[in-house]
Amino acid sequence: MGTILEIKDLNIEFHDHSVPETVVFDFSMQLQEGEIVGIVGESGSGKTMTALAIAGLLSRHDITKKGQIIFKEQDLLICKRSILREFQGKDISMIFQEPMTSLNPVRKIGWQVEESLRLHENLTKEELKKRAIDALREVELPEPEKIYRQYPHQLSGGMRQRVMIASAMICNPKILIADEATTALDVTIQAQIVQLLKRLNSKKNTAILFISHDLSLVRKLCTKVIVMQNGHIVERGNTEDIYQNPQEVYTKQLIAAIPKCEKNFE
Amino acid sequence: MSEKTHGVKTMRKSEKEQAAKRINYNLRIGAVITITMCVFILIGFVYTPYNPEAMDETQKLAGISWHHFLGCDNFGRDIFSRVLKGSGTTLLVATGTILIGTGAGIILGALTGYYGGWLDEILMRINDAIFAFPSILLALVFISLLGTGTVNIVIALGIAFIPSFARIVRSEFLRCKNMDYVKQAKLIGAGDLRIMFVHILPNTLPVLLSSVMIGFNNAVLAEAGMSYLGIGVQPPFASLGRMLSEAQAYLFTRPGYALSIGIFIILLVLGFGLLGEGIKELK
Repeated sequence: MGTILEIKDLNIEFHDHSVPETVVFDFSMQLQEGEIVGIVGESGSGKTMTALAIAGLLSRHDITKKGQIIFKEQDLLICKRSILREFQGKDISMIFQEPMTSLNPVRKIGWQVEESLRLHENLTKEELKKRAIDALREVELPEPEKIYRQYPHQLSGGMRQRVMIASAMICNPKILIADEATTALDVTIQAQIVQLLKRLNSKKNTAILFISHDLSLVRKLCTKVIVMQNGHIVERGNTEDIYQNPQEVYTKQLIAAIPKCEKNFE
Repeated sequence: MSEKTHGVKTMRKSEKEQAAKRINYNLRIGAVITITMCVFILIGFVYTPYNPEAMDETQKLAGISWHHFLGCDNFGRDIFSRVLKGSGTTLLVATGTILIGTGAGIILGALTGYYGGWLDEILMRINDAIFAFPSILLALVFISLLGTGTVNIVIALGIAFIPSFARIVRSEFLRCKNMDYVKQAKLIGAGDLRIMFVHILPNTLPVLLSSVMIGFNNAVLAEAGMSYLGIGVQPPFASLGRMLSEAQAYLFTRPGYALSIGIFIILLVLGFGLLGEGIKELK
C-alpha cells in the first residue's frame, strides 16, 4: 500500500471580512491506497473546508490556502487548472450531504451519471449507457434501466444518494470524499449506504475520506480517525484505539455524546 | 394503520384530481388563438385573396362585402389580404427581435450571473443605462443611425430588448450557480462554459420561456408602434402598425378599417400573452 494523497500543513484563510479568519490550521495527513479515514468534529471545525480544498473547489479569490496537497506528484493547491480538472471526477470525486439538491432537476439520471465519463473518457453513446447502467447496478439500485431514464424528483433520498455514489464512482477514482454523505438520510438508509461504501472500497480499492459528525457510523466504517475542533487536529489514530482509549478531553466528550440507545445494525 | 394510509392515499388522489380539474384556461385559450393566428399568417405567406399591393380605383374605401371581407383601403387595396401579409411581416420582425434579444441576453446574463465580480458590475451598469431608456426611444435612436427598413428595425428592436432578457437570465443564473448540482459539475471537472450552458441553462427555461412570450408581445407592439410612426416597415409593404397609421385618417368615415387591424393586433398579442401566462402556471 502506497500513499496516494499527502496533505502537509494545510491552512485555509478567509478574507471576506476586514480581519482575515483562519478556519483550518496546519492540517496534515496521509491517505493510503484503499484506506478509509474518518474525519470527525462538530459543525464549524473545518472538516468540510478541508474536503473542499482537496477536491479543488476552493478556488475563490477571497480564500488563501497555504501548505501542500500532493496527489500524483502534483500539488493540487498550485497546479494548473487544467491539470486539476483532469483529476477531478476521474481520480478524486466527492459526494455531498444533500442528495436532494446535488442532482440537476432537469436532466435524466442516466445523463448525470454519464457526465464525468463524458468529460474524461472518449466513449460512444452505447458504451456510455452501458457503463452508466453498470454503475447504477453496482450501487444496488433496483431496475437500473428504468432509473437511467428517470428524473431526480422521481427517486427517494436514499436512491438519490446511491445515484450520487454511482456517478462519483463511475470513473473508478482513487479517492472518494464523502462529505456528510449520510447525514440527510434516515438511520436504516445510513447503514445501507455505509455498507455500500465499505463494499465498494474493498471491491475497487478506492480510498475513502469519510467526513461525518456521526461517531458511531465512523466507527463502523473507518480504520483511522482524525478528530478536529476549531480548525485544529485534536487527535488522530486507529479507530478502535481512539474509541477505546481517547486521550484528549474533546474526544472524550465527543464519544460521550454518542446516544447510548444505538443497536448493532449489522 | 392500513386504513390511515388508505385515507392519506385517497386524499392525495382527490387533490390530484382537483389539480387536474383546475384547467389551465390561459394555456388553452392562448394556444387556440395563437395557432389560429399562425395558420392565418402562414396562409398569408403563400396565398392572399388579392395582391396586397394592387390598387383598384373602383373599390376605394369599399365597405365589407363578399368580395372584400374587411373592405378596401383608401387606395382600393383589399384590407384582408393586407392584414394577412402585414401580420406576417409583424410576426417576422417580432421573431427576429426576440431571437436577437434572447440570444444576446442569454450570453450576457450567463456571463454576468455566473462569474460575477467586476465583469458583472461593468456589464450590468451598461445594461442599467440602456434599460433606463424606453425601448421604443432606444430603437428610434438606432433607426436614426442605421436608417429605416425591415432588417434595421429588427436589429434596433433586438438591441433594445437585450437588457430585459439579460436581467432575467442573470437572476436565474445567480439563483442556480450556488446549487449543489453546479458544485457537483465543477467537482467532476466540467469547464465553465459547459456548466453554464449545459448544466444551468436548462434550469432557467421555465422562467425564460414565459418571459420570451411576454417579450414577443412587446416586440409585436413595438413594431406596430415604429411602423405607425413611419420609421418601421416602408410603404407599399404592409405591416399592422403601418396600416393602422394609414387607417387613422379614415377613423370616422370608415371605422371598420382601423378596427379590423386593431383587432388583429389585439388577438396576436392576447394569444401570446395568455400562452406565456399558461406556461408560467405549468411550472
